[in-house]
Amino acid sequence: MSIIKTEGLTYVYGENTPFRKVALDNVDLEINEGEILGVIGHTGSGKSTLIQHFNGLMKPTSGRVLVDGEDFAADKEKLRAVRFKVGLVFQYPEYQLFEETVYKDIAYGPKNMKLDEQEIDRRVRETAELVGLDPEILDKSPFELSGGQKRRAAIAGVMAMEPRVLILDEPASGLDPQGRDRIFEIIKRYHEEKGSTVLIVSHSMEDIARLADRILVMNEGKVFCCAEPPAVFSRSTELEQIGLSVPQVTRVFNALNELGFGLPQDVYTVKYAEKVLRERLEQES
Amino acid sequence: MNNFIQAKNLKFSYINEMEEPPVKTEVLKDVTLDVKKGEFLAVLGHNGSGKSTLAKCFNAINIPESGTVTVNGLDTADEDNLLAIRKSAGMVFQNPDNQIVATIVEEDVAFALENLGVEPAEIRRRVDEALKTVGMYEYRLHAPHKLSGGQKQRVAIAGVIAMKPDCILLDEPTAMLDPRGRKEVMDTIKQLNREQGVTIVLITHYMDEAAQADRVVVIDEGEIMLDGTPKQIFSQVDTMKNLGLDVPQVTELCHRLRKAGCNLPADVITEEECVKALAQLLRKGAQP
Repeated sequence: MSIIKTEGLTYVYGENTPFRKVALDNVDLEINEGEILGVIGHTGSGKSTLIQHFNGLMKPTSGRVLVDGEDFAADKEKLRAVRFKVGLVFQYPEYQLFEETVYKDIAYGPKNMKLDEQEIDRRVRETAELVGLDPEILDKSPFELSGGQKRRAAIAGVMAMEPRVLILDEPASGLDPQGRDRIFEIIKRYHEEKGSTVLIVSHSMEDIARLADRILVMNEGKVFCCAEPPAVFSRSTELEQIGLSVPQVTRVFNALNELGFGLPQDVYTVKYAEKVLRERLEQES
Repeated sequence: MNNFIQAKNLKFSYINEMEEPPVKTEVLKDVTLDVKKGEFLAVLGHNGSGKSTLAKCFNAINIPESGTVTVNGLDTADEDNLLAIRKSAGMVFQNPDNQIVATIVEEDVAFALENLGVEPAEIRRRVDEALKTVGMYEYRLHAPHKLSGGQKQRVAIAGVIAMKPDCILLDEPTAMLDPRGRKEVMDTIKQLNREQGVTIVLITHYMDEAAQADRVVVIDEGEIMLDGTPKQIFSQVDTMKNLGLDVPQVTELCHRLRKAGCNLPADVITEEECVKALAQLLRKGAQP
């Protein structure tokens, strides 16, 4: 069952100007309910333009976007409902914190949804716990928090709306390895607890590979491929040609295969690489 | 003199005067570190470890609370040295949008030179040269906001090298860039270091970037925990993980295989080394 579907989605920037650019070119796509979809593509590939269509921030030049089977583009009421159904966390979301307290900032979305006080309170506290913010932090000003805490507070603000689809644009960028792992743990937990669909946009194949059920690769406004990680990484040479960096272990395995070792071509995590090599060595001894 | 930057028992704290009484946070505790002339040094540490604070001590944005920092022999605590220090140690920050001031690329690169009162003909010459060095000469008449992140960051670097510094301090210059932009910036840094002998201090979260340096320093809780060649540092996989840091994937793979009893070197940090070591292992395994 697809939660988001696009049909011939095309978007053109600066139509009728010298700067005309086709950002999305006839994109047909189905996103399954409950999956984690990684979205990859280099700068200018159209991935940000694409996700902004999913909650109506941008309207197609031609083609359609269906969320939960409905085309919401023409109907204002439906558009408002879609904003609650599809939550979008922008890159560097901590720049958007604005309220006097962390509590109020996280409560902002739920309040707009016109939930009652009790439900808002439950959601704020539950989400704060989920992202690892202590209750006493809720009364502080968001500007007193550390960088990592700010990032988590901003993500909590969208999670508290409990959208059926949560989209995060580069949620870990600028964080250190520990901070990055923590953000991905939080996303994973949210996904498990709420069963919602999650889209993660990232430059890092390593991060995407660990988390995603399927990976969407965008290139020059078109869908390059959309498949499970092994199928995507088995095309690693092509991925490099379109300017994406594949995981280091994938490149190592490609080089070993060029030397004629005949190893699997879909290796993309360290754990899997270890398993493959150990099995091979045991077989031979 | 061989050491370009010398920090001796450097201590630095931030003081929040908004609180009553003011709250003091100790960030650097007794750091002693030398950066050699012409060296490419990478500084690693998790967020809040003190690495950015350290870089700011290296061009006199931060003045030591106690201890001393000298840059090219000049004490950063002496205000009369400020201009000379900033000229010889330029800084590039994380967000390119925060450090570009002009509306035309070449005017941005000329900004510091104009402030220093350099002759117009000399400015022209240095701006052109700097833009050529970073590969942005063709974009000299473009508007910076229309450039990609990697291009903007290279313009920022051009602005620094136009001042002909002996040393460039870069504070996570690639954190906001995509893989292509990261490579552009790293290639530029390495070229400046190798071809022009510019001393580089690179603060980064990316282990593969640190692996390209001559020397790596790991800082944690305001203290230097490790100091050595990339091979010496990254071979300590468990220590690095305990410090909240990572090692390159190839290093981790070899480490795991070693733990499982495979005969592999402990200091694999590049893809080429990894391919070579694994090929050897697989060939040996194939022999009876």
